[in-house]
Amino acid sequence: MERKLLLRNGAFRPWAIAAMLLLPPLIAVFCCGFGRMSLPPAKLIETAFLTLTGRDADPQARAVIFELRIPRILMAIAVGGGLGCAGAACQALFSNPLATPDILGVTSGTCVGAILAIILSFNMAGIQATALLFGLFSVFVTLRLSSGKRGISILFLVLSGVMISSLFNALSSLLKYTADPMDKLPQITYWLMGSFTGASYRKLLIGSPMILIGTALIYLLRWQFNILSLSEDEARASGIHLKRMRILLVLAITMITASSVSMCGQVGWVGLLIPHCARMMTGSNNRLVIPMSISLGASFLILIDTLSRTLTVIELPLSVLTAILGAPFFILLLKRSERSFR
Amino acid sequence: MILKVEGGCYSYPEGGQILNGISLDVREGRMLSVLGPNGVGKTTLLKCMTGILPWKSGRSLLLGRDIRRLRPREIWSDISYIPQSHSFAFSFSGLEMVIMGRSAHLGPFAQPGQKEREQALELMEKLHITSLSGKDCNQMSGGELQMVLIAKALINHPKLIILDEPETGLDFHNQLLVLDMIDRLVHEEGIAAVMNTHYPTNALAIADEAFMMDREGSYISGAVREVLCAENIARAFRVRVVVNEIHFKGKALKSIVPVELIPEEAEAWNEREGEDKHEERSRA
Repeated sequence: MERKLLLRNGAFRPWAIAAMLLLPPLIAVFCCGFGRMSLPPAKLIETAFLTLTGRDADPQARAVIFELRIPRILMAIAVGGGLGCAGAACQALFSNPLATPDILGVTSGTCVGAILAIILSFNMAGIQATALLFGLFSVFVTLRLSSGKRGISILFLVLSGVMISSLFNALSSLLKYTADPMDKLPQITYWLMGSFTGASYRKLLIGSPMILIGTALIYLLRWQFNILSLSEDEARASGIHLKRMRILLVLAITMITASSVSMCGQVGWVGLLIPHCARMMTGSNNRLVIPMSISLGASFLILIDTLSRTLTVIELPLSVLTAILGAPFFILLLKRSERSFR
Repeated sequence: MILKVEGGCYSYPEGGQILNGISLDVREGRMLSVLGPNGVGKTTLLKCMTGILPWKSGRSLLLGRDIRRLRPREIWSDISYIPQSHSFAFSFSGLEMVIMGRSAHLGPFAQPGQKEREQALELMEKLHITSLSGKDCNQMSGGELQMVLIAKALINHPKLIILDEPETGLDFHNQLLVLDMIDRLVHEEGIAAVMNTHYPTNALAIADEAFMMDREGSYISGAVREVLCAENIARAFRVRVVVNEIHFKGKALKSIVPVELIPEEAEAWNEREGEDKHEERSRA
């Protein structure tokens, strides 16, 4: 029934497109007012208007909005939209509705980089860059292991991804074991659980271009993912350049995931939860699933971030919240529409 | 000549030659049926001749050009391939599945639009499967799915269509539906076809040529009525068969019924005794 409302002739209705485009910004504006310092809508609009037109506004409100909240929200949009669409792409790549970008080994690789950088007392930008490099490197290894003369074997991609993951996880444990338990270890643990606390425009400048490129690539190739998710022989017989398509897709997923994790640590669940929600609304056609995943992912993560900084006095880690809220919500949705889970 | 195979050999990476010195021609408006016992490499043959698997030696020529030199898009806008097993990780509707058949004609960043959608709906109407356009492919019956996959193959406007056991697992009604459809495509619309089948009767009903492989790696090819005689089938499948000829609406239909296994020892004995015994056995 929802599908009829959203779709006509296999495409989104105009109002659905408008809703998908407007949902994240509306939620962003709504969430901007919440936080340690509560800003009622009137104050919010007044401050934003005065600042944007170059006049004097309440300096405290201005700082809270423009220096703290907007970077966080922008980061949540980039990471949420990116991970949502990377998850959907990953599921098509592996023709498995349970696949997530973590399978490629990118998450654990990125984490090793971050831990190493924290132990070596790098600054924030240093941590981010090292994490990103390690994430890219780990997928490079996975990709090399799984490509043979005849292209990329999906089975080998899964196997080498799992192996690289566990290898890097072991390295993580080793590094944590050797880290200073008074100073470095808590910092590492907190970083690994994910947070937008350190959000800044500079961080966004380093991290978001790769997310944007990866997301754009996936968006443009989205219809081809349908074919990719058929059987190996059918995909080969479709006329698409299978090897090139798979490499491109792995690269796009890696760029998004490595950038996201390097910006804000681990944010679990988005890559699994969001594409499934999208599929429940639109069906399995990736032409529709991808844009819906981007919109839902961005909106979801803004909400999660707002909850993380308003629920309690201390900030709650992102991955804790995505799991605590995401898992029951997901189960509820699945129960409601079991037919979509195939 | 649509497709020509010259001296094709294939062996699995683990070793073990499976196809040896295969040569065959597929012509416009003709259907070639491929027969043989389980495990002799019928599906492998289909994959090798279309370049999904690479020949170890020998080559395939598509419209006179070596298939290895062609880009995937060039190959698959002329050939449609319907593999044997079908399970889909995601539930696509019948219409979405048919539209996917256009992939070889769309650029890498292109999306199928209203044009492709109308094309697909038109084709589905022609095949009388409009009712399946909204149905989930994972919930279709074997016959419904096979018709959708034929539509997916046809929307590509292929010169050659390759079918791997299209009638296996279908009931009588659906078998006839699918076979009639293929028959019409080949003999009225002039598409070339290659079909793997386990049923000599079906091959005799709609194919023009037959290519029969046996366990020893040798094969016989030629006109379907000459290849699929009792003696050849007995040798390839190691079963005694009875051939019946039925007349229906002025057409002579041949049906081949397997009646008895030929024991392994008898086979060995027969080989020692020579050719005359072979004939005796098949006459029985």
